[in-house]
Amino acid sequence: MSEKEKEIQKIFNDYMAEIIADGAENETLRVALKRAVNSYRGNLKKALELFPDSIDYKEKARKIKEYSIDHLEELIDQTKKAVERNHGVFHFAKDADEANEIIADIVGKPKKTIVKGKSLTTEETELRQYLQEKGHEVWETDLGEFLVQIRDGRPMHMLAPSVDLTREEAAELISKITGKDLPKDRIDTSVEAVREFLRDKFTKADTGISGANVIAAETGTLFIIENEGNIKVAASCPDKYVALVGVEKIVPTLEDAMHLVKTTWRFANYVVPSYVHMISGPSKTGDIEKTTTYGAHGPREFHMVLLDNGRLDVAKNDDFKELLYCMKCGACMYECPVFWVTAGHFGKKYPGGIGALWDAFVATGMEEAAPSVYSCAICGRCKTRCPLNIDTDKMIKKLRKILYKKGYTPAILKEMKDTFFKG
Amino acid sequence: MKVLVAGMSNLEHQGQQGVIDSITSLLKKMGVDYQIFTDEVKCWEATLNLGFEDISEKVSKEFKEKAEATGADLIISSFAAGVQKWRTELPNQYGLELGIPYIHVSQFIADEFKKSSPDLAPFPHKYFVQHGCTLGRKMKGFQAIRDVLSYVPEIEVLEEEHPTAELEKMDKAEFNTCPGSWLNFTQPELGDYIKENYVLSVLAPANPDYAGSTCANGHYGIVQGLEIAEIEDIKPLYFTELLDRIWR
Ligand code: SF4
Repeated sequence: MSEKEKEIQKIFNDYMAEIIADGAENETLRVALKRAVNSYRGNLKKALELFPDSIDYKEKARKIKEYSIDHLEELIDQTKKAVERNHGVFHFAKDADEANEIIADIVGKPKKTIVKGKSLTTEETELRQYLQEKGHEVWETDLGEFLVQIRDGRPMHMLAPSVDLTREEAAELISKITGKDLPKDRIDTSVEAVREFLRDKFTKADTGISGANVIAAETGTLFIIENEGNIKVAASCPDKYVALVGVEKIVPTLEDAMHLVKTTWRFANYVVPSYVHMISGPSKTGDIEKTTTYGAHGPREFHMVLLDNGRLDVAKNDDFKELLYCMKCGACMYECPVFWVTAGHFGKKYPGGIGALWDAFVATGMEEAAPSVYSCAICGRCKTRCPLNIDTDKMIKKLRKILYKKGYTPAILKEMKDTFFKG
Repeated sequence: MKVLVAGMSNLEHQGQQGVIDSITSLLKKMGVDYQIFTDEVKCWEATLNLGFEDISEKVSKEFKEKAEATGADLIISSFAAGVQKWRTELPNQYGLELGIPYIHVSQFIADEFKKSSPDLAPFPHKYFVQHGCTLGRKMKGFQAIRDVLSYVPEIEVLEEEHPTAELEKMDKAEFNTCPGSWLNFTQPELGDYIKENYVLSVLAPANPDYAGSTCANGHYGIVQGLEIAEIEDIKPLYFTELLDRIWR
């Protein structure tokens, strides 16, 4: 084995060790996932019974994404103009490091308190860790993400980052950080304890940070779906609000954005989410002499940081641009047999089969993504579930060709090739 | 009509002798003029799935040349991947067309039964069918196996249920779970957990007496999964084995 091959094999071995230790040998984790899958299916059923027309959303949603990804640069330009028109500050980050630096500059010095909403894009850039290293106090305020933070873990699912925890484990973790002795069999007391704990952080925070589900280019409006209300507070209380959003989230119009928002929440298994925020700029008032004055009750500063990190190249690649259609609704993961078997350890920063593609092209690079790419069973159930009909397994097969050429194929498959296919 | 039976070397490699024997036995009983494709490259379809581009065109061409040289009028296989590769991937990617129609064995039997109804003994058992992902979900080949099993007296056919399939105007088989044989093969360390993913989550709750997949690869997953889960009450039985057993 050459040094390079040894390196590749080590990535695979580490991945296997992670799956086996943290995932497959962990009985409670599988119990938690099973419960989550059943809840997802039940909730989706309820939502589809109430709103059967949801099935018809899908086709239009796909068309909107197809158009948007084909016109991405134009839409970025339009978004920039709109944000500036709205007295917001527009930033463009070509990669993760640049995004983190931009946000650290906005946050300022010395030590600040920052409250964050759940966002896969900030996971991609490892923003929390970056800001913590700069000495800031950063709090994840989504309950699932808060649990990820306090156990120093990684999000297991796009929308439900702690889908792998049972109520008992969650109560134990929350008891530890809040100093309360919470009953293990109850969820409501755990939720209440986190609510109390984070209240104080929200009121003290200097900056609120979140991602967004969709951006409407015509008005520069962010659309954010949530249930807990944490983003509502994080985007309203602090003086500064920053949204870090991948460029692929932009669509042309408010109407398009709302259509995608509706499709996302429905297939994320909500009848209706508690909140959908539309944020277009800093807080303002025109109540005195109809003269617009910025900085009323909400944030005085509004920053939109658009992240490229490889997305613009993917948008130009006909073989893979479909991966940018993903709305991160997380639906496919509940139907993915590999996600179950690996107990959530499928994908590095972005989970699932679609996540393996995101990792390869955007978040981690091909070498790190290879074990997940080869784990995919290419069974195609994710495509059936995906509201945008994204053909993940087709892209996985194409990506394997690239990985093979680059020498990122695991030893077991190389052996298979050398012995099996000789005929 | 001369029928070439593909996929047998792969079945042999997997140790699925029962499936091999039942296919040949059935073909004999049905009076089909057949030939086993003996010098086919084992599992050649997988080269396309794995991205081994340097050899996938070569082994596919080899398959084509050897198959056409047999003078067969039809190719059948218990694996769905080959059928799909020749239907879409190979013509699209390499411009390769197979000169002989290539269908799944379930389709072949369904077509033959339509021409002449079989005489089958009653099979008063619950039989669980897993619709293989390629044949089912990707090629929408759900009906052939349902047609074939409809000729079996007293059988109770069970399928995986899905709570939203009907609401989504889809066949419930669109959502059939993969029994995980692929994962078990590429990451054998996870073998133990195939039982969780498929056997204990999908198969056992349906409480069948027998279970089989339409695809021989999926069936291999079921065989492995039941073995790992140490479940003896559910017996793996490929549908050709079932038919062969009750043929009169
Ligand atoms: S691939 Fe489809 S189902 Fe999966 S998260 Fe993305 S949009 Fe949702």
